[in-house]
Amino acid sequence: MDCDRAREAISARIDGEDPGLPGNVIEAHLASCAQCRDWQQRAHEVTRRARLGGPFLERDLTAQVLAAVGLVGAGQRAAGQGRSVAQRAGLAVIALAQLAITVPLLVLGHDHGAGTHAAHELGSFDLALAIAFAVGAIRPALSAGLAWPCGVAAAGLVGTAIADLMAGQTFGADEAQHLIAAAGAALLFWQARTIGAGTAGPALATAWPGDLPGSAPTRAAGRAAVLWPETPSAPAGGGSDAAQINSPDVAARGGGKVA
Amino acid sequence: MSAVDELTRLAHAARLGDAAALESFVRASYDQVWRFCAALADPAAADDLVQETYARCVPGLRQFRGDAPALTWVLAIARHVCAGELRSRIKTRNTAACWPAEPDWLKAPDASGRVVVADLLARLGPERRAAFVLTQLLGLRYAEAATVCECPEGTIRSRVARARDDLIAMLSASETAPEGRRQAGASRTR
Repeated sequence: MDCDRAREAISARIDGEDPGLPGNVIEAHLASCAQCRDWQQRAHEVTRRARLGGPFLERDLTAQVLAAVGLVGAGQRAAGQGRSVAQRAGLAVIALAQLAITVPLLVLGHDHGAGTHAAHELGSFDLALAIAFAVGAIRPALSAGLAWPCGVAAAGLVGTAIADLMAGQTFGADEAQHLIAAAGAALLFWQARTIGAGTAGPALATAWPGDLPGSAPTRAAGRAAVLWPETPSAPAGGGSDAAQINSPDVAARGGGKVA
Repeated sequence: MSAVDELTRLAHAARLGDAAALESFVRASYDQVWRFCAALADPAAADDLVQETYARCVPGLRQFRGDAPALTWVLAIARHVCAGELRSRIKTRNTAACWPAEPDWLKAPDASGRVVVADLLARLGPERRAAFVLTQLLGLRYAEAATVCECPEGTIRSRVARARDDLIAMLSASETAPEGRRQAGASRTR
């Protein structure tokens, strides 16, 4: 048998890993090959000396690392805060404007193209939009859930307004108010994405470096996940590799080897 | 709870915004990451490389899903940081920094004959060095080292064996006569 292959197996056995060859094959080779027996001795010695040596940390830089990391987080949080204040203020203004639209419909029962009851129904939906925008201003964390129904409603209002304007069914001035709803829905989506990118933790910054292992799809995925979150899978459920790495006795062996 | 699982638990807590867990996570993993960076690049550069690694880790924690233990995840980031450092050294023709200076025992006959194997590690090829350091100095299993190095487990096994082979050859060279030592050292640095 090829000595290189045997030595690879011997090396794996020293580490308590799968040698890839049956034990008796390895033993048979060792019995017949003096060079490999010698190599095995030397491999043990070199391993022992390497484990005792190795570069050591002389002082603890953890504090500096955390300071640097914290500064990174704080700087980006400051930039983000200006943006989030603008979003919430915008939503508050739009909520008030939308509420103003609601009053004639709901309270007075006036609408150009419909009877009193239809006006009340329309007013109810407009009120719902107004309150959704207000909630988005007060509790930005809820934006992701609110954005969808508001987006659909706004799209419907604007879409039908355009169609009906072209068909001459209604007037521009009346339909312009739906732009308020469209603006509010857009702000909610934007706020949801912003929140997806940042977190509440003091040291967790919003930037994402490009060359992390397997990271290319994850930045967009992280933001999208807020608007369309996956249900979390069971822990330790995925794949044989994860099971192998996470099993306690394997980890304990790995931790104990250095000692 | 084993040390590896504890680190993963801290990573998850830090991901949810727990600042104390983040600090504990950095403290607990710092030594391993430093030793890895010091072995892959060199001890003088390790401080900066470790800083860079954690600076990338902290925002990355949000996406950490825990498929692999947190330590292998951090080490994988460290490996990328060190690889970038080595690439930039090559680009700037800083070849003196790529290969460490000849150890004293190669330059002149050494009466004491003691060779520090750790110095020899620096003279291994980068992939073999990474595989050897991860499994022998940091105590990772082949499967975990394979995750860090993003290669199959069989590749790790063969790199570790080849690293042992190289170290044995270097050690034997140190035990031969001075002329033999000089020749071995000269051919290694070319």
